[in-house]
Amino acid sequence: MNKISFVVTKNPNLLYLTTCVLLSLLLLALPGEVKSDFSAFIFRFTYAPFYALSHQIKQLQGVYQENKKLQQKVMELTLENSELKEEHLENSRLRALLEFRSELEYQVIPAEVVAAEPNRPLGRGSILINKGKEEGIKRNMPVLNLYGLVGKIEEVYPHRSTVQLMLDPDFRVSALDQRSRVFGIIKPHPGPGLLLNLDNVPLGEDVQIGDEVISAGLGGIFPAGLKIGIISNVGEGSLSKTTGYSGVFQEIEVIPSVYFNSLEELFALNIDVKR
Amino acid sequence: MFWGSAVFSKVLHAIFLLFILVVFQSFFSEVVAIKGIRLDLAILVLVYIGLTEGPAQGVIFGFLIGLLLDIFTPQRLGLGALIKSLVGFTVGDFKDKLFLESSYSKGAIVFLSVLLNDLLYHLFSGGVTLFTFHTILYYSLPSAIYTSVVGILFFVIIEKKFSFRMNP
Repeated sequence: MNKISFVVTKNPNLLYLTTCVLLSLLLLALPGEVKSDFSAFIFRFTYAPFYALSHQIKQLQGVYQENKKLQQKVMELTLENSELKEEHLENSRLRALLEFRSELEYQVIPAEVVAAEPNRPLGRGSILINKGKEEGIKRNMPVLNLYGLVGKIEEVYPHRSTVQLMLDPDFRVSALDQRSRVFGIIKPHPGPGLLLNLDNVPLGEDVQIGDEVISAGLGGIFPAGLKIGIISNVGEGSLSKTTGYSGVFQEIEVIPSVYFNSLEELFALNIDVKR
Repeated sequence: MFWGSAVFSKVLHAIFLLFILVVFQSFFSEVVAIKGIRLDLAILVLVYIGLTEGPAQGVIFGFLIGLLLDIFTPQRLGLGALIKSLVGFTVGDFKDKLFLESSYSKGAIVFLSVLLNDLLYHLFSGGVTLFTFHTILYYSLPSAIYTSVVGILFFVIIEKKFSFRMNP
């Protein structure tokens, strides 16, 4: 005992070491259940708050990651949905074109618009299509789509052609009021907008707003019966641009059946070949 | 007065280090592990305490750190406290016997302490077997290197901070 007290007095650090070692051995000797309870007790006051915080942070991170993934998924699905809608619309359009094509009595050459600038203010209204001489396209062939007459072939290249639209200032087509069978000449409207005029209709002729205008088939280029548009305005006493006489012809505005700003699939009509 | 005394300051210091250890163990122990090689921050802190305060504080701190880590394996409660008390005492004993001015030599003490800790753990928990050598070679040794490198950086920062205070 004296020896121990001498050693401890000489080196007090040994006292701390002995105490800690004894305490450790005591802990090691405790029964399993007591050890578990003791560990749980210390855990509750040391690590538990930090673990709870860590768990919350991890959950938040998880939510953030999931949110990012979901946002990406929503974007993908939106794009997919958009593509599917576009395909659905294209499918419906092509189906309608197929039916329309079967209704036509002449040989038709389907084409797609590859460049378009129909509303150019000072230039000629024309578009470029992806079919040319090699595919059977010839100059002056009528061009139409599902809704009606679009124009005629103007210039022909091996695999490309330009189409002169009805909006072109030089474009003319003989037409008639489908209801009253009154004849006139379709020209582009001189003012702004995608409108046409039905000229050379004498005053007093039976032309009413809402009447449908179709091609008359008189010029040898366009067959009869192609839809051109609907009469939207009828005025009197206009100056005829053809004859120069005033007050002889009616001024008739026609809304084209075709919407020139959204031309996609077209047909060139070969009126020399019947089906 | 106890509240303004050096002892109180040391107790606060110790509590702060224990707090850091608890936070590290809770949040970052897995984050800073490199391919399963763990950073033994407990030993690093223990070496720091031992080398700056001496064997008494080394033992007490080692016991507390060991106890804090033992609660994750309740069946071996006390084993970590025992081993870290011994490591803390051994490191603290160097304080007056060796003059470790270089951070690298302190890093070497960290390296040896990690190895001693792991070796004692295997010795007390199941005896030294072939598996012990395998574990020490593939886990303890890389962990000792990793911890000592971090330890060198730690001591360099601590010393710079100290010299900055001395020569403002």
